[in-house]
Amino acid sequence: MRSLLMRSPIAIAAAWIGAYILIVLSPLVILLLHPAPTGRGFWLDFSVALGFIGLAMMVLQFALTARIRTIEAAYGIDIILQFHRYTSIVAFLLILVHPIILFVNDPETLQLLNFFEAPWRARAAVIATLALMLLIVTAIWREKLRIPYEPWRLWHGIFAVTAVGLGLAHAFGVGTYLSLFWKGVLWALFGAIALWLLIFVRLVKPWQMTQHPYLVEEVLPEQGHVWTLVLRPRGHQGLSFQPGQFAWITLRISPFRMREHPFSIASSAEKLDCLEFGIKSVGDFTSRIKDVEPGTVAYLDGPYGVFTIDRYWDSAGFVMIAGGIGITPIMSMLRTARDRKDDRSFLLIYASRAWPDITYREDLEALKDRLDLTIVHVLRNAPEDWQGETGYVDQDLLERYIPVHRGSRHYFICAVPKMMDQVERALHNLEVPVDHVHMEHYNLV
Amino acid sequence: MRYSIMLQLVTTISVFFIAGAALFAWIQNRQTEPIQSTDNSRGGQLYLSARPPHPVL
Repeated sequence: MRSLLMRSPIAIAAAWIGAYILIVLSPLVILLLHPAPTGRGFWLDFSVALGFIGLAMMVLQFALTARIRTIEAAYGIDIILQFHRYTSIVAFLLILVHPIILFVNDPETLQLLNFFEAPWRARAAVIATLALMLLIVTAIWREKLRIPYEPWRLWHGIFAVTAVGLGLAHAFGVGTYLSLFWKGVLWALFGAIALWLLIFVRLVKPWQMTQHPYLVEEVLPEQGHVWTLVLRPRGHQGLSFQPGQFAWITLRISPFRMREHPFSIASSAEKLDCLEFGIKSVGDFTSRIKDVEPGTVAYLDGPYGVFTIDRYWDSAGFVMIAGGIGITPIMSMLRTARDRKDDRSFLLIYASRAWPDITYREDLEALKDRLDLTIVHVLRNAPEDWQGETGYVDQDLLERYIPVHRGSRHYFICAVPKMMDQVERALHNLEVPVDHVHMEHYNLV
Repeated sequence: MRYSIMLQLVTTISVFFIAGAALFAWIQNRQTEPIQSTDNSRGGQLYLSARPPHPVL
């Protein structure tokens, strides 16, 4: 049993979901363990319960976004962040429904919305709800509202702390159920954990990063508007990572300023003294990467991610499907396999816009001499004399190349979300075992 | 597809939470049920709570 829980990814993932449900419901469970106070009516208690659940879910968002390695190792950080997005919306809706039920059940409570005359606990609830509303709106429609990433991240944190802090203050201020000793203790514990996670993320982790600085060695241009950022550790051994993982980079500034960006490592995991990151020039930060001077100080938070061949050491080989800059983590896996003299077979299906846009093209060709590597380039805009594959990576194309014994390989997909969805569905139709397909969404924010 | 599975998971968890909230409210507000006293000489009714003194989920 212990072995199952330690090794089975599904058992571990299920255990974390069970823990999540238990923690969220624990305030209600503890209430039911007490001699219950006189009921105040079904709808009032239902509304309060929804408020407690919503608030507990909000507190847990701090844990989901704190990049806790034990949690992250079970799912991958992209999955956890997506879970964070979905559950935030659910928590918001539950918290919104909480006062609406009260207002419908007892219209006199509408007076609590009179901000200047309402008691402080009601004001706290109003501000917390508004902060939560702003948090959700700016997170869902950040790109449409054209909010740059760095100020958005700062305000995201401020809104979250305001919503949870004032939400807890509101719960303690109302105090209907929190007057019960263990209930009060539990919510105080929730508040303390949220505060600790905040301190950990904002102070402890940045301080740890300052103890392991890196220097930019060079910034190299690659095909496809990609830049390779080369970092060398300064005064320490470097970052020990598994090929395919990524790290959050802080450049030029103190890590305490929380202006970091996630990028996949492209270099071999066997070379700790020199880290390379593949960065495509698309956003406000990445478009300036080419101007970074050698000698610039950098800090890393990582490694993160479960998108790695190291977790499947007994696989007979690997099928890797990349689109555009999605080649970066796969490049790290291939380079590591080369350095380890891995004799297993590797099939790379690599979709690019056009021949000149194929990032790491020459490096990939060179890897074929050192690895059992087959590369299938798929071009959307192919030249007239192109003999290879064109169009998109669809089911027909995959069927032509992937092995007949589907389960003998593990499949790694890294591309834009639309391509990943299509490839995942195609692999499913081709009867590739679902637990042999691994994906990484590289647009985390 | 993974995100679709996760959406279904989050939906299931949310329904579970809402059901939990409803169950909580119901337990807190169970009606006290009148139970006819066996002692007719008192001629009255004994009211007992349907809720045990230390309810456990």
